[in-house]
Amino acid sequence: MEADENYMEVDISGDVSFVCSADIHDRLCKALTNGRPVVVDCAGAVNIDLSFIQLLLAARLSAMRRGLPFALKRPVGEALLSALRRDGFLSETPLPNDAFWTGGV
Amino acid sequence: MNGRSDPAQTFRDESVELLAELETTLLSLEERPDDRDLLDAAFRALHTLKGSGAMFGFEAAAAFTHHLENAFDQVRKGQLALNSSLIGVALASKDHIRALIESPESADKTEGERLLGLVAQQIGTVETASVSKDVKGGPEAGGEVTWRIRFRLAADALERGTKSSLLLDELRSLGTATVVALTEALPPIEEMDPFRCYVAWDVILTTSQPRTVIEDVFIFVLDDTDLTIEPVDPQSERIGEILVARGEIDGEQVNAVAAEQPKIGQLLVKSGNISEERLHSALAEQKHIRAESEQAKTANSIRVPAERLDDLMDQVGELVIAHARLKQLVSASQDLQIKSVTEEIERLSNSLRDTTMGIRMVPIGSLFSRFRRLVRDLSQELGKDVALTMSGEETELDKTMIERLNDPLIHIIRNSLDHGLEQPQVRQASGKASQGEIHLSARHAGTQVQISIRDDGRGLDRDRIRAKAEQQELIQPGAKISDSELFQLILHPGFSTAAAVTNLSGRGVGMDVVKRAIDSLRGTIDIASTPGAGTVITLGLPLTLAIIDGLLVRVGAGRYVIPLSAVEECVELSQEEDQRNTGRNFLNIRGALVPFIRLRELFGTRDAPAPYPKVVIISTGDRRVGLVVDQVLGDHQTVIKSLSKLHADVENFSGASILGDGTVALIFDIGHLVAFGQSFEAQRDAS
Repeated sequence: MEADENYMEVDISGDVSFVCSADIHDRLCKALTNGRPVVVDCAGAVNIDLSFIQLLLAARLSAMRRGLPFALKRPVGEALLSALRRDGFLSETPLPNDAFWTGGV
Repeated sequence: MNGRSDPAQTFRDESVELLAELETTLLSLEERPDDRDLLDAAFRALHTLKGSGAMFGFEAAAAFTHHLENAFDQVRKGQLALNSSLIGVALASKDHIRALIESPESADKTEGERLLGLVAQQIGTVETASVSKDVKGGPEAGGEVTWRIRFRLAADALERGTKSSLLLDELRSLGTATVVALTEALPPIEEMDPFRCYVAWDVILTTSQPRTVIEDVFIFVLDDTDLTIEPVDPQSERIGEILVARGEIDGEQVNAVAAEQPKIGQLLVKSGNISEERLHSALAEQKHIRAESEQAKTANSIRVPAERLDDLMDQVGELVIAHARLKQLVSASQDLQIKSVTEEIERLSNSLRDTTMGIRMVPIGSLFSRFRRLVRDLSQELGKDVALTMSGEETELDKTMIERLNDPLIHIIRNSLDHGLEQPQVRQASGKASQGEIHLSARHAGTQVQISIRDDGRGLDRDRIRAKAEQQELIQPGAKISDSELFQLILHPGFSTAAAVTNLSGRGVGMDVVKRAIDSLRGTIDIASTPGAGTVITLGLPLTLAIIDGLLVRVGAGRYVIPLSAVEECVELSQEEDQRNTGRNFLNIRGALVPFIRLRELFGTRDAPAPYPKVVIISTGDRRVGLVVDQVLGDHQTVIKSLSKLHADVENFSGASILGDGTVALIFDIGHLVAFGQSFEAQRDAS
């Protein structure tokens, strides 16, 4: 986790499958308590499954309630995009959350 | 995650059933290749095995099954003919799939490659089948249908290893799918359980596959998944759903807008057509009906591990023993209230015992159907045309018994096919139909289940069996012996040698193995045979192995249990008759000489003998023997406890029981005792 004056960057790489959920949950929760915008870099994440996607969406929801920007660092990585497509979070037809997944900073 | 079932094991367990169904379906397809329902069922089974196998990590099984599924898909599309050859490959492939699921590491790769080669050959032959073309009413006949599939996995689905992406891939493989994940249930991260599944999905799927194929995608998660599958009617769909189907808008947005609109009930109340109270009442009714429907759906059946049933049966057994002790204690009491409560406990205990035994009962049809494959393969191997017919498949038997009957029945059927049924030309020459028949039947007879294996073959050769028995000195030359008794000799260990099988046109190798297996189940074997017309082997088996009704007897200071089903009658051994019989050990029962065993002598009892000993006449089949005991104590419901390994060689006892006062009573093994008693008769014949 890197702290910047303007935002908090969370670097999540390696295995992010279900067995790592608790750890990632803790890291995202901790990042959100700093009161600064959060940027997640998950380009190096592998073994992405639904549990990781849920965590990102829940963190985003939490940030929105706190009035904090929450974004993914571009590029997000093909592994995440592929998992999003398979689980129905991204489709050929644009969906509302697409900007979150493919926009980023 | 502790205490949760292992999803891979669940798949293994359920795949056993699925593969058994597949085998039955394939065998039926061989008989009725035009049956579209069977064809669809076979395809569905393969499709499910493939999809679920991949989902639960059985990639090798899934990959192998994929090829067979392709072949059957071609059959469905009329591109490939369904013939015996393909069925044969499919049956062998089914066995290989089972090996890949049970033990992927040790599965024979060469066999897998050989089978895939055969499947490829079948597909390569691609002949247009008349079968599928003529079929009407299949889903393909009506073209494609668009379905709305909505599902929410169980909250613990992730913990159980369910992978949503594989389920969705499966759905996509069926046609054109639009998948939308719904996240409205997802809480902020600080409130969420990272192990829980919060997402639901709406899938709009256009496919030529029937609804059952879509349902099969969910077969391993169905119990815990909220799932609705409904056809989308293009004429009446609301615009919001069409937009979702087109992928131009997601389900959340449609729901959000719809939520802002007044509900129909609110509109009716507002317009004054109904009162608010009536609306609430109608909503309550709606909720009730939905709840009932849901409950009915989930309450039909549940899957319980067999070990839990065994534990339950053990506990019921302990309850029966505890009750027996209570009953004995209360028998000395004059307190009517305690007696009344004891009787009530007895009633409940008996009822619980019956219910528990009922839960363990399985229709014997599940066992019989396994033999279709055996008969098919063996008859092809032997060049015989054999039909396997069955009756009484609904007859129920304890699940343990069902499993332990498998091997002896295989043995008997194999013998019928191999030695009993003649070659087609031989049958025709003797005026019989060229197709032979093996008929399996089951029925309840009192406290027993009778299972018969009948063939219409050449029958047992009495003369040859007799000659063999005399040669082996099992009977004396010229001894009078009934057919039934003579046929029992084929169950004798070592009776059949390879040479004898060739010469004896009857039952062959290993029938003693069958006898041992049936003896261990406290069962009996009766054999009847008519030359040229066939043989019937009837197995008599107790309904359960756990509890029996017994006759409690005393010999010296020891108490013993005789299974009540074997007891014919009890007679007194008068001193006069006892003295007259000294050295002979035969009793005259209404004109028939019955050998008897003095259990005091057998057990070396030194206590003072009873002044009026009793003889309990027991029987198996046509054979009878008397057991001389000091006292008959009465009937006794007995929970059977196994003997320790140290006592495994004690042949005359099949188990032990704990009596009401906490002491142990040994349970007689009737088969061995009767055989022991019969040896006296043989000695008499010899003299």
